[in-house]
Amino acid sequence: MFGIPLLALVPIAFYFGGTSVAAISLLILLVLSISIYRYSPKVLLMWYRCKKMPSAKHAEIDPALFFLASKLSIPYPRTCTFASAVPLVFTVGSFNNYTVVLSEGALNILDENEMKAVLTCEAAKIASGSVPVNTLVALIAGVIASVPTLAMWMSILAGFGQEKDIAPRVVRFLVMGLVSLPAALLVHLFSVKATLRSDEIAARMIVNKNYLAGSLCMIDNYIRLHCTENFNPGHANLFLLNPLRVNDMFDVYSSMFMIKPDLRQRVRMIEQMK
Amino acid sequence: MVPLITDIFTSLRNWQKALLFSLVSYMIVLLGIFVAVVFIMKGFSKNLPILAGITIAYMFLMLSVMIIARSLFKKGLVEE
Repeated sequence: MFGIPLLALVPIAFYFGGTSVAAISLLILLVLSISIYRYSPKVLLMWYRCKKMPSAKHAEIDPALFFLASKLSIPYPRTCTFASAVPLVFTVGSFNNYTVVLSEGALNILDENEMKAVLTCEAAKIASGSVPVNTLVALIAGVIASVPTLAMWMSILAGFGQEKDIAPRVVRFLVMGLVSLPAALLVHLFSVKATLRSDEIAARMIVNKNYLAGSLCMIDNYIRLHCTENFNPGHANLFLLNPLRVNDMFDVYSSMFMIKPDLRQRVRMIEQMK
Repeated sequence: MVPLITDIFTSLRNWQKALLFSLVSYMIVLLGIFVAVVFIMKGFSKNLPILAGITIAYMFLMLSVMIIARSLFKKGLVEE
């Protein structure tokens, strides 16, 4: 799907170089598209500097994931963790290799039942088939949305000030104005919106669905009250809950990436499930 | 005048403000294109048709994308 716009280069190659050049460019584009699709989960895991789950936590999570994988007939996902105090969970994968990533905040804050509820939600996302496309969309949108940070650091290195000074922030704001629109359109048009569907599947599977609703509310409260970290807006659709907040005018572009359903709608739907 | 503009601005939703600021950023790019064309072609008045053509094409493309974005965001975005 993402290789289709690149196919427009093939006629250009044909115009300049003939059939053989067009054939070679088509081959290169195919290899490039498949490689980006194949390695997008790995790139995202490296982006967040994910590492192996501690063995104690892995021993708790492993049986639950094994049960979910057999119940939903999905490949058994690996688990990783990344350094963040915010309790966030996301799943990446392609070609039937999936990885569920939990932040250190999630490992510390969620108890056993809440952890199982959250993992059920992630397993439901894998079962719905939305993970490979969302991984690829998150990678491309994330790369586009990281250009303003690059511009800000270039302005800092050029002598415009420090990170908290106004000039680099204005540079970042202006560049964000250019790149946010294409990144947000990419997320809106191509990402698979499977949040409510995976909540429904998870709520049907869990014995006590209040654990799922409770864990979502707790994570949302933590993000509202304590979250001071900045997350790439292109990755917001990957997470279980949206970690983006519009705190001041410089964050206004984050509002274009808030496509996750409202928490109250999700909790109401979970509570109404029989 | 200023209170009216302030009232209109505060009544906008966050994503509408974001689209407005994006428009400003893309206008700055158009200004950069103007400066580049004037320097390369060594003149402003004699190149007005070219500049007008570039402006019309650029604005048409940009406003089309903004209209598409507005309709998508109105349906798909969740307000805080």
